[in-house]
Amino acid sequence: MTHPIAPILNDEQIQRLNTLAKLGADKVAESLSKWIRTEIVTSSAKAAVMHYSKLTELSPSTEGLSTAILVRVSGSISGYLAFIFDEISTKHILARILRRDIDSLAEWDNLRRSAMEETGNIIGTSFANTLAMNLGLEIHPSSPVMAFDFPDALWDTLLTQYALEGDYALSCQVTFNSPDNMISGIFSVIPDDLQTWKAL
Amino acid sequence: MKVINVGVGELAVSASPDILKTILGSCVGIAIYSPRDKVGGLLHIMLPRLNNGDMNRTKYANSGIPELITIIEGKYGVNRRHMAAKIAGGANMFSFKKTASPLFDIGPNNITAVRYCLNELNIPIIGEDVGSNYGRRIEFHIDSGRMVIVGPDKQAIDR
Repeated sequence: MTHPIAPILNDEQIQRLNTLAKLGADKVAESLSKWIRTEIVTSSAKAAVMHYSKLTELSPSTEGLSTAILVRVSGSISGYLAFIFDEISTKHILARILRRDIDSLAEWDNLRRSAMEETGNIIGTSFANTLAMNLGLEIHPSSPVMAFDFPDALWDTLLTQYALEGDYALSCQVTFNSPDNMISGIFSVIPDDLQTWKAL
Repeated sequence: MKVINVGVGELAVSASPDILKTILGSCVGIAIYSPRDKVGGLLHIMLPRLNNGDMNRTKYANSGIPELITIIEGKYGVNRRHMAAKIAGGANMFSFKKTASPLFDIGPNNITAVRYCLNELNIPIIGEDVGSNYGRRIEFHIDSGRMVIVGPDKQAIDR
């Protein structure tokens, strides 16, 4: 382990991040609900320290493919906001935004890609604004990027960011669902540098 | 026959007829084996170069590859002169065109580091499927030396 995490973040700091995760999660659910005109509720929001290999177990599904949308944030704190939706959820989100049935995700045209990236933009900005307002920080979200692929391959790429810091990582995981369970997703905060997030 | 799953930043070695498998995004999978002895291993590296002080050597190309070779030599008594490599992965999964991101170059940098390291150790690369922008599920069949690679389009290719 390069950077032992336990001495970096104590229980009180983890608890503070938990509170922030919950605040941000509620805003994420609210903005996603408005964007896709479907009720979305937060089912869990938790900050935790874990070995990076355990993060893949949080993936919504290891079967089929998933969408990951990444929003880079910079300013007082920096890192990524990652939103991951399984295939069924992706179809339902696109159907709601584009107002048409989505039978297959074999082809990704600009319209579909833009719709998912805008989804990441709306909920990422919402989370970043919540953090900024509550902490008095400057946080600047960038344009989102997305990929549709094996969930483990998406995590494989995201985990490299954690690996730069060591074997253990801070993870703020939020899961959200629609009441009919047709849309569910995971939202994860991936810090660049744990030292700056410690100051939260 | 055993099917052995190799986790992120880990390695496994085994003998024919076992199969070694992993899933790759920007990481690179390196199968090193001896066609003559029917033994080999699979390494799943995450980053190009070992960070100072990191004890987890299998996360990195420049420390993981020598480690894999040493383990195969030690466990099976195989001379590295008889070894060959197949590599896969190193994708650029997210197209960060408008934003500077440390994630942007990791896949290509991993590929470069793996090639450099194998060349330095005189292990020839006899098959590869690297780069591009998609994930890969790979299976390495030790008995035949086949690396079967499946992308998100479900098409399987042999390397």
